[in-house]
Formats: sequence, structure tokens, C-alpha cells
Amino acid sequence: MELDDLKQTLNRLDRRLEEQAALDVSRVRRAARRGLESGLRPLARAQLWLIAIGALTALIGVAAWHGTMERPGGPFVAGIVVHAYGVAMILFGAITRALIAGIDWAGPVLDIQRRLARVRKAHVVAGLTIGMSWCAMWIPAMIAGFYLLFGVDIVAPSPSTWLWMTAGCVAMMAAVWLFHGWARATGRTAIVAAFDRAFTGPHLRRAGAELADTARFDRD
Amino acid sequence: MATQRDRERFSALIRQHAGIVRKVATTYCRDADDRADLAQEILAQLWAAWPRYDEIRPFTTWMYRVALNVAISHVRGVYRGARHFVPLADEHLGIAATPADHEARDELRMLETIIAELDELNRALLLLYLDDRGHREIAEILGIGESNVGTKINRLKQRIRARFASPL
Repeated sequence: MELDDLKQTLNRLDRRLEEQAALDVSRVRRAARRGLESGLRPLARAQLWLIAIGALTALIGVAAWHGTMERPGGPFVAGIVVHAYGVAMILFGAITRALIAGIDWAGPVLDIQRRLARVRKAHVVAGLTIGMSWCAMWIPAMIAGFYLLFGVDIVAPSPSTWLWMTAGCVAMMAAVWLFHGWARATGRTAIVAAFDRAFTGPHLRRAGAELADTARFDRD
Repeated sequence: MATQRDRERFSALIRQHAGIVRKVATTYCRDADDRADLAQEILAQLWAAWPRYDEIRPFTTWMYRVALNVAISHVRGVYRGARHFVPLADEHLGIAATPADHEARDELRMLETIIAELDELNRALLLLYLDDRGHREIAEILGIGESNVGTKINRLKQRIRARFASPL
């Protein structure tokens, strides 16, 4: 059996399919609307939402720290943290949108598939970073929220309690991250896989696998 | 905004090369509904990319690039769940004109088996080769070196020879 023997088979299959269903070019514009909806547009729209929510978060942060500039305390620090978080959301959204904008479907296949895998990876990493940081972010968000809504500085009665609570959350996240790094560095694949399953799901792994497939095809 | 003339020219070119859309859809989807969805998605992206088409470049190269990019993303489920390639849909076996046309049936089965065993990028290479595209055009479509195309095709041939050295 030779590969060239299959050229006729492909043509016969195509003729058969042509008889069964002609390609309906007349519906192309309707298909274009539907096709683009199911393509990259929802992801690009999601980034706009991320940028808008980031801007709102940054504004809340600014309002909190700006209002306490004369007597900097808990709400001032919390405001700066919330502001920085909002800016990070805007940056993530803008970077992913820029990656999407760089995709031209008429580009060489390997290049476009590599770009698409990068977009997917950036999207998943951004989601993870923004989501995971809420393990500690709820504290400054709550402090800033109480200050803006009720004018109350909930840190003032016991600053050390809030400091230790924040430090504890950050330390817990750092410990998880370090443990993951140690497991990866020492080749403990079962632990790394369990982490990936628990935290990143299949999406990041799939984006990584697609990037690796594309690189392998290019290299081999 | 596309003019009426643009639309007519686009439609004429697509009709002339409709086989590309059909072959790509057939290579990446076995299920008839899924295949129709993919064909429509390819047409949609072709229409969206049409204003940027540079007429000094070959239309088939441009069309193949868009069609393969959409098909690979479709199979990889870039923004939906991943789709699984199900080889050997019964309707495809109907290619054999009569029940006695065992040779056509066997060859189709082999083609289906090969496609199902290849990853998305090698599947694109196989399709382009079987559709008699030259090495230079394949290199331009995939974005790899021309010499690399020859090496990959030779590897593909060896792999298929080895795969079908023993009966299915």
C-alpha cells in the first residue's frame, strides 16, 4: 500500500460528497455572522468585560486610598492593593485582546495555531491568577468596601489582626506555589498532575500540549 | 463594506474551489452535521478574511490556509469542547458504487484509518499531498521550509507502508 494510491480515493470521496450536499455559498453572510460568533469574538468580548471590571475595581481602589491620604491607615493600603489589582485585570485583558487582534486566519497554519495556543494559554493563566489571588484579595477588598460604603476603618481597632490574617493568606498561597515548584523540580509527576487537575483543569494542559505539538511538527 | 461585485467574485471563486472546503471538512470531521458546521465556519472565515486577500497571491493557497486554520481550531475545540475524530462513518463507506467494489471500500477504510491516526498538523500535510499540491505551495500553506515538506512526506510514506504491511 502506497500513499499515492490514496489520491484517487480522496477524489472519489469528494465527488461522492459533492453529489450528496452542494456547498451553499449563497448563505455565506449568514454563516459569517454565526461563524464569527462561535470563533474568537466571544473571547475578545470577555476581555472587554475584564477591562471594564478592572477599571471599576481600580476606581474603587483609587477612591479608597485618595480619601485617606491625609491619615494613611488600613483603608489607604487596601485601596492601593485594590487599585493595583484592577490595573492587573486591565493589563491581562488588554494583552489577551492584543494577541487576538494579531490573528489573521489567512496566515501560515503553524504560525496561526501557535498564536491561538498562546491566546488560550494567556486567557487561562490570566483567569487563574485573577481567581487564585482572591484567596488574599478579599481582605483589602473588604477593608476598602467598608470604608467606602460606611466610612468605617475596620482595621483601626486591631491592625495586627488584619496584618496577620493577610500575611497568613499570602503565606498559604506562597507555600502551595513553592510545593508545586518543588514537586515539578524533583520530578514528582503524580503531585504535579494532581495540582494541575485541582487548579488549572484540562485547559492549560491542552493549550500547552498544542504548543508542544506545533513546535514538534516544526522541528522534526 | 463589500460591494455586490466583490460578493459575486468571492462566490465565483468559492464555487470554483469548493472542493477545498469539502476536502478539509471531510478530513477533520466524520459526522455529517459536524462536517456541515465546519464547512459553514470555513466559509464564514473566508468571507471575513476576503477584504484582506491580496490578488497577486494564489487564491488556493489563501483558501487552504484559512480552511485548515479554522478546521484545526474546530477540532482542537479552541473555544468549545474538544471534538473527537470518529473514523469510518457508514455513509462514507457508501463510496463503493456496489457492494462488490471491495477495493474502493478497502482503500477508503485505509484513508480513514490513516487520517484518524494522525495529529491535526500531519493530517493537513496528508490532505495537501493527496490533493496534489506542490512542495512549495504546501510549504507556504503550512509555514515550514520546502525541504522540510519533502522530509515529512517521505516519513509519512514510510509510516503508511509500515502500517499497512500487515493486513488491517
